[in-house]
Amino acid sequence: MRDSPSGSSLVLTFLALLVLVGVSWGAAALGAGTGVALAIAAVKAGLIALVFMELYRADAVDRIIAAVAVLFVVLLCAGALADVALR
Amino acid sequence: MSLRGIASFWSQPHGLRAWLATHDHKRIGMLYLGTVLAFLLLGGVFALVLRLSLVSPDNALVDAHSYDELFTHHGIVMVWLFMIPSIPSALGNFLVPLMIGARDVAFPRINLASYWVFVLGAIVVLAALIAGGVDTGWTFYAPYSTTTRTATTLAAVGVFVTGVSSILTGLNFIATIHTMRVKGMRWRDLPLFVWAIYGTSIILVLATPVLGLALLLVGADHAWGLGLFDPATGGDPVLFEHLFWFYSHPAVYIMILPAMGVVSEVVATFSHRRPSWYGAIVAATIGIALVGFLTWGHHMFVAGMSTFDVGMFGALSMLVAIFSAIKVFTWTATMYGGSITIATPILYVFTFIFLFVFGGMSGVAVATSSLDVHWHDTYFVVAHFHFIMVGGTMTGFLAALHYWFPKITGKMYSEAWAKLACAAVSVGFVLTFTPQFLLGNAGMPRRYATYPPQYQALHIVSTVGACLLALGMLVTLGYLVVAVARGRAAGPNPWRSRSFEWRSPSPPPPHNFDDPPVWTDGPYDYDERGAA
Amino acid sequence: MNDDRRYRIAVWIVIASEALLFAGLFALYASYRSEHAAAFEAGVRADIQWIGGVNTLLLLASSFAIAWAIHQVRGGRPRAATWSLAAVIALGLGFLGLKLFEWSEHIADGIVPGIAYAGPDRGPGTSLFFTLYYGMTGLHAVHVVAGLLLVAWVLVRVRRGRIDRERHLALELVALYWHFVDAIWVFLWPMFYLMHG
Repeated sequence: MRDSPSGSSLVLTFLALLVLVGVSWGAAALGAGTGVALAIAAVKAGLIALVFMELYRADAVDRIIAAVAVLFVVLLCAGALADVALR
Repeated sequence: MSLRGIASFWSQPHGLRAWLATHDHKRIGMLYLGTVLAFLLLGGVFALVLRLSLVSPDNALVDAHSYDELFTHHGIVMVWLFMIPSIPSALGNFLVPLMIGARDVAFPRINLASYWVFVLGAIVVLAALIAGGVDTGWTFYAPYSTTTRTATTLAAVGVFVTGVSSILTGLNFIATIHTMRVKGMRWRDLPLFVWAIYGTSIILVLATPVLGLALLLVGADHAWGLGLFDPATGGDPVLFEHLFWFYSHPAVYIMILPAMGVVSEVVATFSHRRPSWYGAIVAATIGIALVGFLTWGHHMFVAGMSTFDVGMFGALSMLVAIFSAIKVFTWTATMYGGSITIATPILYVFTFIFLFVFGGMSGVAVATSSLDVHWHDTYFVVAHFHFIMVGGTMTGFLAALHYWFPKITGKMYSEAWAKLACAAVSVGFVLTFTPQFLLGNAGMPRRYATYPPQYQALHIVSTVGACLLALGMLVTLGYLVVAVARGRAAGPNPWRSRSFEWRSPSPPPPHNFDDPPVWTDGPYDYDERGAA
Repeated sequence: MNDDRRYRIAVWIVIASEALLFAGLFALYASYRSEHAAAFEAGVRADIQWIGGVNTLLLLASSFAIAWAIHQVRGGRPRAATWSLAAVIALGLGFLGLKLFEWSEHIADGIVPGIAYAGPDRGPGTSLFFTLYYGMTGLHAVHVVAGLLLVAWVLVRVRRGRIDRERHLALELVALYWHFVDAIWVFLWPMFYLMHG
């Protein structure tokens, strides 16, 4: 198994998240659309998952569980949205 | 391994507390078994009353509102208090550790908790049925479910609680299968029943929370006017259906995958043959578990969905049928060229395969959206899902009971009575549900208490079948109970199976194995001539 | 090792289940927003912006703090870890406090969930937005409370030396849950505060 995150990588990740908060706020102020907002959120969540939750060094099983969960959340949203939006 | 003088899990440790607070997966399985059988009986009584009332077109037996409550209660009890927990929680709990050489599941205390949470949920459901009843159908569709003046909220809470039990069960099985296999057992050495439970558990942990939310929202709307599906505020009742069916379609695979696992085991044992294409069955199992999540909209073809969704869900629904077909072909291929012993378990498997094929084909039929427009909400759909759930799961459950009865009790039942009951169940089933395909195709809607006289003949045939089916089930209960009390000793492996659970004594001792077993062969190590 | 694995798998499964619990609400939000875009955008504008932003910073900091606590424990510095965990709790309580304040402000304006909605904006979709707002932030808040109880539990164990450099699985698993709760909020923030069209 790869090494646990170093102190500096934790700090850097946190700083990156703060920067992304600024980006989110700025994008909203500039009137960016929902897609942009959610995409930035996804990047933040990805950083949290990969670094803070240490998925970058986790067992294959744990990664698969996480990936499948995300996929199925998207699946439900997509199925319902494809109904309502395309009627 | 010595067979004599080993205390069985039935008697050790002693006492009521030792049973109710047990950590032994075998005892927890038996607690579940007794409980789900009681609910099978209850759900069956509801069904029988329904069928009897439908003998006359103007339904002299029950009024319309009571009829609504009867089919709702039948559905809720059968789906959540019997079908979902039956094979996984009752038999899976008993068998999985034995099949992988473990002393217990990964989290025995969570296993116990799952049982008592299930009982709690069941009590709340029963309270709802008694205190006001529920008349929405087991599907709880808004806006009726949020406005009807019946015990909908209570029922929703009860089912929610049983859902928690489901998730705990699935979690336990996944952790167990990943981490508790005996040393040297690779994934490709797993018995197919264990694979089936694994696939089922994936669905349990991922689908059940969505049901939980859907019921939470309906309950909150019914009790406090949350209004998320209320057209008055811009809400959309069809969105409830999306949430509900996102769970409830995979739920039917929770019901069928374990039964298919049973079939795989019985076919291998009674053909005295390694399953053909083991890898294909495994792939089909996981395929069903995952692809089953992509098809929920086929319950909503006429609900007002976009044409895009109708088309997409229809096409995806066809995909799942492929995996089921692969399984039927591999079972058939396994039996072909095998040396088949005819006994009750394999007879139920023959029934399963026969009825499942028809049930599955009728599924493909209703998955064709243009045809479903005609059949939706008719008896055609009712026939389809009963062919799968009763003809499939119920028959699989009966096969399992008869197959593992000697392992669990150490006794053997009367084969003559068992064959008789199997005949009654099979013929009774066909008589009950085949006419319903015809009824539905001829336009008889489901959930109707009364009907025009031209449908009466088929309804009468269906009711006669239901009585025969009920008789067969009661006779089964009878001789099994008699066998527990007075059956002859069965020995550790009466079926001469090579599968791992047969290598412990019958019944097994509390800790399953004295030392971790060393299995140098696989669970299907039959020699070529079909001898064990 | 096997012990570690079975607990880890179990917690990831719990997290997956919880994600699917929220999924239905995300799906409702997406669907209703597509149907009532204007009402949703107005609703977003009506939410108290500074609270949304500060709450986001509080939770992200708390995720950092709990990850830092693990780092300290692995380095054999339990006192520093205890302080980090205390910070998680403080930040989490701050989050909840602001949430309650925000809700009370809304309620004072008549913005309540469900058909009892009596807020200033009317029209189809408006009450749906606020019902989803209460529903999702409420369900999230319940998870924050549960998470804080778990963090308090591991804090006590660190203080007592039951969690140390050699055995700290419980801390890692509680942290996983806490990060999940943070990740959910990362989506709720734009959905209810930023996406005003």
